[in-house]
Amino acid sequence: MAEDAADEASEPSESDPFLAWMLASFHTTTLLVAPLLGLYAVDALGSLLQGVHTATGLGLYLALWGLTFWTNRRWLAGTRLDGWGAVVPGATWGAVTGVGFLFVLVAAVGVIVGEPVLVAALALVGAPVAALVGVVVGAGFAVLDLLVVTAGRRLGTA
Amino acid sequence: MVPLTATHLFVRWLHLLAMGVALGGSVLAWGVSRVADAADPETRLAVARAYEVTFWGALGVLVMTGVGNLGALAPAIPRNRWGVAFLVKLGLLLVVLIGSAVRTATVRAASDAATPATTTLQRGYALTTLALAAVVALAAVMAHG
Repeated sequence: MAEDAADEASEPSESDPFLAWMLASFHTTTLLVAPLLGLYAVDALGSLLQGVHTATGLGLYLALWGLTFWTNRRWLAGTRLDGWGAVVPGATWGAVTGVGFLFVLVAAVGVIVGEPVLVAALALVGAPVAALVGVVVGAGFAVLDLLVVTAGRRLGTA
Repeated sequence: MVPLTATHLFVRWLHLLAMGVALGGSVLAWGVSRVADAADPETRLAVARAYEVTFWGALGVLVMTGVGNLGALAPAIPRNRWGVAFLVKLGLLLVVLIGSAVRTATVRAASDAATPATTTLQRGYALTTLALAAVVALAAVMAHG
């Protein structure tokens, strides 16, 4: 029975919104808290937050959270979280998250500033950078998630 | 400092509510894991799974509204003693986030296991309760210290 459970645990988790919800929330919160620490330490946080309206900030955060939930579900649908093979798909979906969030960001800028040429230029120039950042962050989180899930498997069985 | 608006007050209210849910829920999950019949791991795991879903929602809202609260202070976000409490709070929050990810993964694995490690979960909820109580204490220092 325990072997069956172990086999099931290594199957792709297509129907596991529980894990996707945890990972998406974990990624989103960590993505915000860690840079906050750094920005405050170098005294750059106040000037950055001053330029963001509260409602806009909340909206962007919710967009990132929702987008991360969707990409995590897609990642988990095709990945066995039991080895390093999960890292490359994690990096790929990280790139999707990065580019997707950039588009949300430039759409918000477009609504606020109302300059379609500027928005198009931002999207064009920013997309490769966002994809690269997403690859790095996605790979990093995939490694962290593997460690977390492996630790959970060891701790969860008496 | 920008004067407080209805939006800022709503964000603060949501922030406190989210912490109430996260901390209150961990106390409940800890209590249930202590008093539930050892022969009935299903009850413990059902409460644990429900808490984990709620916890991550509450943590997401806490971080979101926490940044909103900082925005209300910008650009003159305090430093010195307030800043030390803030940095310690954020550092502790990162520890809570990573520890909670492991705790949730443990609940998920325990749900599939023939012999779930309920004692480990009980310790996990005790640690979560203590860590979140410490975060609240740091928040009190920042608000009134």
